[in-house]
Amino acid sequence: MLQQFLDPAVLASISSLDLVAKTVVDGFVAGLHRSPSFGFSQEFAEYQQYVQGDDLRHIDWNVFARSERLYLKRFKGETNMQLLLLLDASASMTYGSGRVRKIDYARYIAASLAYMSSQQRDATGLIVFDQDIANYVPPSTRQGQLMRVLHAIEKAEGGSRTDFSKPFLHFQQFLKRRGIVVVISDFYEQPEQIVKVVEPLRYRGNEVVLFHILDPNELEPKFKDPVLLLDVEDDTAMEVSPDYARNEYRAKMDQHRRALSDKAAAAGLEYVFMNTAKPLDQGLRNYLAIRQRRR
Amino acid sequence: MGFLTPWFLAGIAALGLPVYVHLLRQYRQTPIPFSSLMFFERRTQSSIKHRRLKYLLLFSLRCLFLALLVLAFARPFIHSRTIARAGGGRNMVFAIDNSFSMRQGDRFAAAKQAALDQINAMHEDDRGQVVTFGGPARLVTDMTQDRQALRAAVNALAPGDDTSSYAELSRVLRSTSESMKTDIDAHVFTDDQKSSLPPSFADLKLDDGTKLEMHPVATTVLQNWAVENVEAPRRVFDTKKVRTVATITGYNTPDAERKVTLFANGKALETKSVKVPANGRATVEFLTLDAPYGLTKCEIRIDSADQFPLDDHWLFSVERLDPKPALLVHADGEPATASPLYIRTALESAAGPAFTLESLPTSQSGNANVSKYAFVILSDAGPIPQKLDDALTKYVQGGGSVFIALGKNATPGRHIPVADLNDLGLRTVSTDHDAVLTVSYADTSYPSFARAQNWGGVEFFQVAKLQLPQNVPDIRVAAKLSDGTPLLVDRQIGGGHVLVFLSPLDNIGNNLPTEAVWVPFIDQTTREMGGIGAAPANYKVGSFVELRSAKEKGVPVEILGPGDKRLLTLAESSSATMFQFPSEGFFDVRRANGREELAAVNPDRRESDFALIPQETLDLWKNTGVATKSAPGTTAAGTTTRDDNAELWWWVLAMLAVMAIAESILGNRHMTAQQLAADKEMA
Repeated sequence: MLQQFLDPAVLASISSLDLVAKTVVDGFVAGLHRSPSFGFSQEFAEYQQYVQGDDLRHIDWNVFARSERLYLKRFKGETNMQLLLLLDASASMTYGSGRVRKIDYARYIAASLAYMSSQQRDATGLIVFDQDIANYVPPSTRQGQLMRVLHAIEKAEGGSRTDFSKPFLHFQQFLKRRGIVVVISDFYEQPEQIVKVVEPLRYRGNEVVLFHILDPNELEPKFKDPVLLLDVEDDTAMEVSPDYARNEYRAKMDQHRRALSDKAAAAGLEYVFMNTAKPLDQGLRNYLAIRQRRR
Repeated sequence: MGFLTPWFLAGIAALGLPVYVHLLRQYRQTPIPFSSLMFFERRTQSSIKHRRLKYLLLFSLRCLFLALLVLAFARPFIHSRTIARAGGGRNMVFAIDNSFSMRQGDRFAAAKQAALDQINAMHEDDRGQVVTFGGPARLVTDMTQDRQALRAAVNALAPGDDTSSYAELSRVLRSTSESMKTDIDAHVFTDDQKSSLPPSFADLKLDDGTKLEMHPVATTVLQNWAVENVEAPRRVFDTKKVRTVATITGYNTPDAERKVTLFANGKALETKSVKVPANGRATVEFLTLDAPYGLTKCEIRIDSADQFPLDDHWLFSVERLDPKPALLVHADGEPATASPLYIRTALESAAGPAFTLESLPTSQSGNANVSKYAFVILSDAGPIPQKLDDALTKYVQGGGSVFIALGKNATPGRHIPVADLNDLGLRTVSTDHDAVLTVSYADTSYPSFARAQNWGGVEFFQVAKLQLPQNVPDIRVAAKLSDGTPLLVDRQIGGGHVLVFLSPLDNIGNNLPTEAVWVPFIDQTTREMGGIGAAPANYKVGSFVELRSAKEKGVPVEILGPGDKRLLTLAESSSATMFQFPSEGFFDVRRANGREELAAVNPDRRESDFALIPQETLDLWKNTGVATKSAPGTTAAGTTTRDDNAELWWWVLAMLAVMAIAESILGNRHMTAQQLAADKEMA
């Protein structure tokens, strides 16, 4: 029942992004509880005496009730993990054949990951980019960080064209600690070029995950008649015949996805393909699997 | 199949229009935003390959419509080969020239014999027709296989006095070919006179499939002198002797001296010698013709001593008459030096004064017996006595003519006598303020202006206004002034005419009486009104004479030909309006209005020129009918076929109409808003 809330079309009807993220993650986690193979939980480690300045949310009120002393509950899952979300907000991400645009889907993913990360007390940061860096929220575990990240995600809207090389050079300076770097984009660039600019992030010991977001109509265009297509990024127009879109385009797109996946794997990057018509759990599942490996 | 105007086929390019509308324009659509064109390629061929025409049936109809429209303008035709006759055989036309020149020697007999020889040489399946073209072409027989009838028709032919015309012959051959839709063999028996050729060679064009074969009966050019023309007055009104000028012409002749004799009523009056230059003409003047009262048959004759004596004389007639009285009614108190003087002087100044003028003031004109006058002139007479008005009305109804000049006595609203018109008053032109009125239009076909055409210096200062009824066919405006107002109006009433001149006949209201055009204007006008002006001096054979006007139905006319032979039957006598002179001679014409005329009729002197048509001209003429289609049309069995062009344009137009209706219905169905929306959604 809760799985339906992972459906992007359902999520699109929820206006508040934090609610979206909560719905997704809670629904996803509820689904995981029925699946023993994953064993997602935060394992208890120790109690730590409360000192002024600690987060009150981590106080174990049961202990306080019994002993009238304030202790913080510490879990094994609490590490110094850092999650940096790189969200592509180029013009091409605004495309959507259905109710959910790619940028919306990417926002759901990013918000869900940020929410999940904050639940696990990981430092979460966000970089919104197109051909330049549009917004940057430094990773932090401070109170209110989640809301800052969600707010930045919500503000992310389609900008100009995608250019990986320029913003990714600047990302290097933002990566102070090792962690997980999640790149959410439609990756309309040559796979070699993408891997070339993303691969340096991996050298610093980061785990890099590429979330490849595509619309169903980009995967399998369905044109009955010849159409005139307009590139939303550079405004070039091109006549396209249905036969071409049906055959050659699909082959090229499949080849692109395969090439990106292969080259990402060869470079030690994680590649996750996501169809905006499909639920978001695949992305969350991959994230948790990676996080599990890192711990 | 072919096209009569193939250049219109260029319009087939208009078929691009529906292609544009259905293919290119349809394809031009709103661009659809797409995330990236990275995996698309600009492959125009592929794109065009997949462009699909919309509304295929409508597109086809529109293309068909335009194609048919272009086709209709190109005027398509198909060749249809018509077999002349199931049994085969040739269709032959035997055209015999029986013009005046064929009377020379034995030419006509030779032509008939040649025609008979051709008829005898006909095959059993051949058909023949006898045609003469000495004058108006005449089909003597139908197209028949009866050779006996053809021979009889040829034997019955006689030469005439008319003029042959090869253009007329070609017209008949074309007509025969068109009506029978067969090839024809035309055998022409003629003397090949060059003068019988038309001015335009195009008139000789024969129809395709007409084979022309000439059978000339003359091979040499004869020397011939002829009386070409005689100038003499037709009517004389004084006692002077009549001046007669004859023109003698030589055709293919050397210098020679010829004797010319003037005859009157068969009696030789005078003989003169004249030197006629080689191939030239000379004139001889006679002043000895003292014609008695009445009609005189006159003749000029030469001693040509050539081989064609029939053109050595010229007939003409002279009629001596007393001058006819004419009445001039002028305003009381008008000085004798005004219009009466000018009119009388003009009549006396004319060559051969035909009228004596009696003038009366208006107040004394009531008892005038107008019936005895040749015509009546009301020169600004003002209100005339009712008795005179009634008499003039009766006079005009009976065929008389009245000339009314309007001047200072014109009163607005006054009824103009006899003419049944209303006067609107007099307009006086002030030379200080207004432009002087001149004649801007004069109908030269009207007798008054036939010779009096120089109206340049005539200025009008007083012009009456006239209320002319609209759409009255018997009113004719013969002249107009520079401001567009009428100057001379002719109204036919009964058998006569009323002429209304809208300015006075003196030198006050205009300067007409002092200009040179005054005398010929008055002379011709009065002669026409007096009934002695219209008839020509002499007639040619084949010309027409008018016997009666449209209002003289039932009144008998009579024509006595040479030998006092009546030429009209009783029925024709009471109904014929025209008569064509069939031969040379004197014809006594007694018209319905009682006038008698002695018409002298002579052959056209073009027949006297025996110059032959050049051979190359004859070859060209023959080639106009040698059709490329006719040659293969003659089969081994002798069957004559004919290629004909059947035009298809009206079939094309009918299909065009059907296409237009179908396109409208179909287009209406497709172009409804709902359909367009559905199509758009489907796309």
